[in-house]
Amino acid sequence: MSNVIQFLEKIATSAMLMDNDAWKQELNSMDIDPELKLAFENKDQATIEKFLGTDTNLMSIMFPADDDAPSEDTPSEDSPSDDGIRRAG
Amino acid sequence: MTKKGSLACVGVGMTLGAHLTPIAKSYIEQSDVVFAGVSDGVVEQWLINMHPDVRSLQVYYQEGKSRQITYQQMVEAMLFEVRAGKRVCGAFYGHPGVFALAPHKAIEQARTEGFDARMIPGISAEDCLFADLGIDPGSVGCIQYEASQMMLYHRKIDPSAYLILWQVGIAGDQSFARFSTGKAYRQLLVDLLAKDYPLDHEVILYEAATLPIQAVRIERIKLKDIVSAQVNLHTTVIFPPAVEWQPNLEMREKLAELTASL
Repeated sequence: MSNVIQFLEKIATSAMLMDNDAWKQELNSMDIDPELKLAFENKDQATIEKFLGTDTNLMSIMFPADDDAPSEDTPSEDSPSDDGIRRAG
Repeated sequence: MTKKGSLACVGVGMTLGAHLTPIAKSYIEQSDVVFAGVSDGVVEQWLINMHPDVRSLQVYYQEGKSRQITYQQMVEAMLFEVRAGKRVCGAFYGHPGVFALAPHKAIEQARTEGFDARMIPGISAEDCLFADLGIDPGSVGCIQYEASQMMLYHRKIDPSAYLILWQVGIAGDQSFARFSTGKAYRQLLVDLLAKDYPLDHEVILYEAATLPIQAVRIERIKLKDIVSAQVNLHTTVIFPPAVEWQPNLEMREKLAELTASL
């Protein structure tokens, strides 16, 4: 699936492909699974990650509100969504 | 004289492939081991394509476990390999020094122990935010707070400047162990902000694109609607100015007198 990563890199480094979803034309010339192709067209990240075999639920909070001593506590009021959980920065 | 091991914490930027600087890429490729603290599984896979020994820092997260412990473990994981004499790269998404504790701590610890350690900047969410929203922080000034920090401490808000709030999805978390808080917590946040802004003040929910095929999230809502809005951990809330800035007449007069006396 390295060609999928290479494809994303190609889009990311081309002003022509980034503009107006021009990458979709490039996508049509790729020899990849039709379901994966559809996932790209729908910008369905979860399905793309499934094909790549990567974790869809990454957790990347990197910053504490307070730098005091560690503490253990209760789980959240709202369950975290299945979407990736990320820090902002 | 520095010891053999070394540490470089580099930023890979926000959008896969688009923001990686040549020097950050070089550190990733030339290190003995790469530790990844990134936003998406695809981004992690992208790093794996660049280096044969990429180790995810995801393993240290666990809901209910203090993130302070998580950050200590991340630091220790990187330092363990530095002490073993390896060239270690910590690859973090965005900027490794912006809203990221572990890279700062790891570099500080490595230097304390006599190792060469450095940070290579990356394009942060803040950088993308200014570009995507067309905001110049220099125009009227810009204040930034981590949302929980602003709630837990007495902080000053200037409604004549931009206000940027980070990590609103865990606003009010005192345990540092949650992956989200919730509406009741955001209501307290709104109550706090309502002292400086009208409840119908327009604010912007923002999420940078992490993949080149993704759309940026720019959603304009009223302050009071932050409570019910879809607020993810990576959602940033931007407050445009609510009032005009006021000239400091006293200082202007003093400056004029000073200039005239020269």
